[in-house]
Amino acid sequence: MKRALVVTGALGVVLAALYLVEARRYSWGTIAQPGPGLYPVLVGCLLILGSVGIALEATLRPTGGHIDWPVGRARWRLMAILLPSLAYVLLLRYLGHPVAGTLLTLAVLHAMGMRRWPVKIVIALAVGGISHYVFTVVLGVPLPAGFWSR
Amino acid sequence: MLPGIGPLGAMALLLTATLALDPVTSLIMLAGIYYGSLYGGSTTSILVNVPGEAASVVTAIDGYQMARKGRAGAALAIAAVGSFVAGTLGIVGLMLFAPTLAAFALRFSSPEYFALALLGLFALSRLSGGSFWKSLLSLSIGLALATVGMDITSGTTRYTFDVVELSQGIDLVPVVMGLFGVGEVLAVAERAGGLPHVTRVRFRELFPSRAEWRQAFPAVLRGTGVGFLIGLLPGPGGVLSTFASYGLERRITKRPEEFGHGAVEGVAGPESANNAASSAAMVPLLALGIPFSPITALLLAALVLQGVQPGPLLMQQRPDVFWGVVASMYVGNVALLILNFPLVGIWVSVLRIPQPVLVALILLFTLVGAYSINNSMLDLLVLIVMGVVGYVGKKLDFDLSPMVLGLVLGTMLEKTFHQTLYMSRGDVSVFFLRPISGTLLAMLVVILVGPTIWRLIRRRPVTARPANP
Repeated sequence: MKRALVVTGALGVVLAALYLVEARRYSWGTIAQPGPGLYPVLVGCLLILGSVGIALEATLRPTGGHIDWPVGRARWRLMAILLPSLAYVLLLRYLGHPVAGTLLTLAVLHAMGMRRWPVKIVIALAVGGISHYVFTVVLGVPLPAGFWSR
Repeated sequence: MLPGIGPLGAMALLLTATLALDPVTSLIMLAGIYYGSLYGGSTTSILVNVPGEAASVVTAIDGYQMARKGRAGAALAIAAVGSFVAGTLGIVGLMLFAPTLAAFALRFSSPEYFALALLGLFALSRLSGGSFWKSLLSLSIGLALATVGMDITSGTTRYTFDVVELSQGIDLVPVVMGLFGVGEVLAVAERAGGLPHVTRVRFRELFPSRAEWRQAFPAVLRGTGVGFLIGLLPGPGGVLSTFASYGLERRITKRPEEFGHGAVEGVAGPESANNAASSAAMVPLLALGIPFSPITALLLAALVLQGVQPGPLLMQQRPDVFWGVVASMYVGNVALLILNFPLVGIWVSVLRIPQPVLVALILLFTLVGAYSINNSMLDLLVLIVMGVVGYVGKKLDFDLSPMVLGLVLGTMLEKTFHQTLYMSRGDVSVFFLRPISGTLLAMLVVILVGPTIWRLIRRRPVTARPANP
């Protein structure tokens, strides 16, 4: 846990530094007439304070617990859910929700260990179709229908 | 009822469904979802020993022990009736307090709102348990995210990196859905286990004995009082109230040995406190327009999406919204009592849906829900990034609620900060010299340094007294 928290603190400081560098582009104004750059500077300082605090706390008062980062099949399952989700986002405009949603559902069912392909396919088709109907027809959300509809 | 999703995740998931409704109906639906998830959280605590959300953790201690002794039905009934009584009394409190607070808040100006927002943010970070520094980092990330987009005072766009969609800022809903919805989906996917063993409950077992009622009722009333008072204050009222109520019950009981082994008061008190706190949390939201918890922040977002701005003038300008919420809370409590009492067996069967199907459904609904708010691909990317942040945050034991509140209150904090400095011509002392803002900032100082000073006092070694000559 200690190492992970020190790394988190270090990443926080880097993030804060980048945030503050960008904040320099905006005018600070004066204390009587503050500009758009003043508040981000204060927030950036708070980011640094929190990050340094975490790293110091982990170093000076380590809690001793350890983190079980996913390995083996658990890591594969995570990736097999994250990557199709990202693919869904990238392909939604082109494939449309019914197809992208069905493919995502199929990928998740497979990643989560469902074995029989016919069952997986039927569930994925049902989820893709029903979710499209519920959101577009019932709730009126304009979900992309993809290039099929053109 | 689904462990981990909790009220916040459920509300974020269902926010989409409220967009097609008018403001009153939308808020009524969200309040119903909120109450519903509070009831659902206690059910899984009692039957499966898996709290559906943080505020139900305490219920699991004695509730599950009651279930193991064959009193699951009685525990569920006590939790449901306790929640109903507390919820109803809490609404009476809301009706009494909110108009008074709103009238008082008419005296508030920028420094007071700044101090109140600051107090709310830091109280949540300091009192949510765990590491203050982790909460502070979480809070400052939320505040930083709130600076993305157009600065409302100067009209300057900040941190947009020439991405046009970012000029509108980062929306709350994909952030909440990502942190608490996708983050939980990833955690579930990692540990992918079998279905939990669910205790069966028959209808005839749902009636507590007379002795159990006698033990429960005073605890319900005490829990209601404790919960309502804590819920009014800035900070994680729901969770704190359950622990406070449990501590109180354990301190005043004549049978302390029963606590942890199925004490009726250990279920009745915290469950009532939780519901009373949730009613009380609506007071600052409706009267001041300031959310003190992520859940009320989401309610605020839902209202703003509908074009309604809560605050001191809400009761005068939109009495239909205010009284609609009050009425919906009464009706929601009765409906949930009816739904929970005889139909608890049916709701628990949700836990028997195969995990792969549940995970796929939640993930897809989260993605579509996030997209539907603004029809924006950027929101979907924010959702996934926040999902990873939520998952890693869970691993590192971070409380992510301050991030949500920071994102919601950040804009207001900056606006009131600037307005005060303009108003006072740069005189910072105005924050401390005005009575209300000065008092609020003094409270903030107590919250920030009080626990440290208290710890130091308690740690100081006792010096030996000199012997009498």
